Amino acid sequence: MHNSTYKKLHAEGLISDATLQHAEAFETNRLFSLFWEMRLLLYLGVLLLTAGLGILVYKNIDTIGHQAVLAFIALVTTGSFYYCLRKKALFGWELVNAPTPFFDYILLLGCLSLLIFLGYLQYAYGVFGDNYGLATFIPMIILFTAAYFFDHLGVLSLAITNLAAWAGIAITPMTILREGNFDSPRLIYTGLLLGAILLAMGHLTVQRRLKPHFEITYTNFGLHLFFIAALAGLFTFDKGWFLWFAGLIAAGFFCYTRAMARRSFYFVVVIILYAYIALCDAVIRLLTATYWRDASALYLAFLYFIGSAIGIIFLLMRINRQLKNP
Amino acid sequence: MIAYNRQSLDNLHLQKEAREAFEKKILTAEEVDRIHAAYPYHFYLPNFFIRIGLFALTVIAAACGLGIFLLMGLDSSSGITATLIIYGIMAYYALELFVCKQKMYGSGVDDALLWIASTLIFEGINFSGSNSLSPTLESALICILALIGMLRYADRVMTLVAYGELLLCVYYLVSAWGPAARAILPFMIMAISIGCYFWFTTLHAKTSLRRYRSNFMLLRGATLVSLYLSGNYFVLHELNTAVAGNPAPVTLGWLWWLFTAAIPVFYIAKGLQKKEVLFLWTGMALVAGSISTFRYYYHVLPGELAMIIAGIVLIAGVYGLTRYLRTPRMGFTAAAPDYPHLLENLPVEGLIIAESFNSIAVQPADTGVHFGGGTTGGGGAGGQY
Repeated sequence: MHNSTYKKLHAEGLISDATLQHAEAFETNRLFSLFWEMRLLLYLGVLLLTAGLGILVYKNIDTIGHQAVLAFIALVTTGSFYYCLRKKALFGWELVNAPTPFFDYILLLGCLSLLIFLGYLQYAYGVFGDNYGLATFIPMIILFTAAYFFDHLGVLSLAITNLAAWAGIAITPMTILREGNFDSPRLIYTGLLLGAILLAMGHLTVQRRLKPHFEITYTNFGLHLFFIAALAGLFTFDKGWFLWFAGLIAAGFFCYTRAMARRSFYFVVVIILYAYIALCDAVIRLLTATYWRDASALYLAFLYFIGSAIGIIFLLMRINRQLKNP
Repeated sequence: MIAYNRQSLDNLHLQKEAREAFEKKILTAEEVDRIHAAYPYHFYLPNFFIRIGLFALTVIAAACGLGIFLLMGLDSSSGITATLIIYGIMAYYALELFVCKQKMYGSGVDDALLWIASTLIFEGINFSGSNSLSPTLESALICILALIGMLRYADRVMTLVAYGELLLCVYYLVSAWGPAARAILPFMIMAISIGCYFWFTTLHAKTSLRRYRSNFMLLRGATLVSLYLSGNYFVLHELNTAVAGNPAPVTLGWLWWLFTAAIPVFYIAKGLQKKEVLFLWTGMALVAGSISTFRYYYHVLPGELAMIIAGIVLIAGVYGLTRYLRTPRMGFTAAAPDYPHLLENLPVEGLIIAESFNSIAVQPADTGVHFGGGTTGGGGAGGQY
């Protein structure tokens, strides 16, 4: 706000003398924060360094130089963890703020280089044998431990991604879009189960006050995974699709009431859109079953989409009002 | 000219500023309440996520409406043209109704209708006749439609589209004049960018145009980018190849390399000197562009070594900066800004981290550990394990 605006508001008697003085002092002594710029550069730095190290190890795998590369990675790992252990604040089950943005990214660097190191050990010496489950399980444990010990949401997200990989599915948004790999019943059931587990973890996290700010990360992954798997089930299984539909709507309603209770616009909209997709699938199935010989099915489908979309628009507008004015 | 109620727009802006000032702990809660009561706005302005949902649903409903229209036995191309244009005009009409009667502002419904109306009218005109529009006319038409979106509805993306299409229109127009004109084309685009930058900066400061401030801010950013692109070696080389058909080196190569290297640095320096976020972020983004351009033509280092060195330099540089700014210096601080932003309570940063480091951290369970190729250059690609 400009000084002139403050003066105008002051003249109208909307703000006090003290506030006006405070505002003028604030605007003149204002500092330019480089916080987000530095975060972005650190993110890029860690990304470049870890990706570069990964490729370097791979390219030098059979040469004499790979020992040196490995030593370098070990050095980066120990250096990062040494820094983090020295700088970290006391452990607590509530939110512990990182001392600097620098800390967050050095921790990330340490975790990632440790994983590269382990990946190399497995490749070259097969330390985990042929037990590939173990090769994802160990990194997952490391990541979860680091996330809780140092209180880091990014590492927690990586740990959850690893947990899903251990279960055999990819759950980051881009991989889901790219591969759309929920085509086998095994993956669908795994996705449902894992999604439910993550949602339960989110619930426990708050209820037991074990790092309650981790809840939103668990719930976010869990919710999307659960509903994508459920929708995949609905699309895939032609027999008993109605059970899938009913189950999905029931689960959606349960999650919806919880999201409304916590007044989260984001989760409410996401759940409604998933439920809407399920509804559309059910309606199309019914239409094609009844009118499949007829072009009128197409008209009916269009009319259904217009009507239902407008209906959901009104529903969302109502929810917006409810959430804004309790 | 602007469709929304002007008084409400001004009051909404003031309320937003008051809330920001409250988050910076300048205003007290009672003062904010008093300002809200004295400067009310009458818009239907939903939450950001509701807006996205409303946008998607409006598009679905409108697309199906169009589907029914097209199904109703319109086989000839002139029939389709008429349907598209009439439907587009209907969308404009609906938009006006929603804005004027329902007081919608940034509600998702009005955003969607504006885009639907503009797209359909453009497609309708473009579809008409067997000979479709020439590229010059096409971009001029899009520019006009987007300009309507900007002036009447202050739409931000439309603003950027309008500027981009204006430049494209100049490009098509001039490159048709022959080789001599093509040679001075980069300089023309540069001149336009610089001229527009100063023009938009003046307009941005005008009180009478205060409701378009965010549009002019975006346009200023766009001029910075277009100035850079018109002097970027890669862009010129590719365009030259596309027009002339042979990948010969560009004439005046040293000049373009100079621009490619110097403009981002100049932006960053300017951003730090003027403490202006726009220059700083544009400059930082363009540095990445310049490095990619350079590495595209000269492979001085293997990709992975370049990445490692760049990573170390970045991390060390920020470490130095963190220590240096432990106490604020020259008006700069490393501390977090004191006002929260929209995505603060969502796990966005964690998600970005999971997404981008996924390939490094996750080892697929079924295939075992295998080292896969990463791509070179820039940021973003990693070795796969």
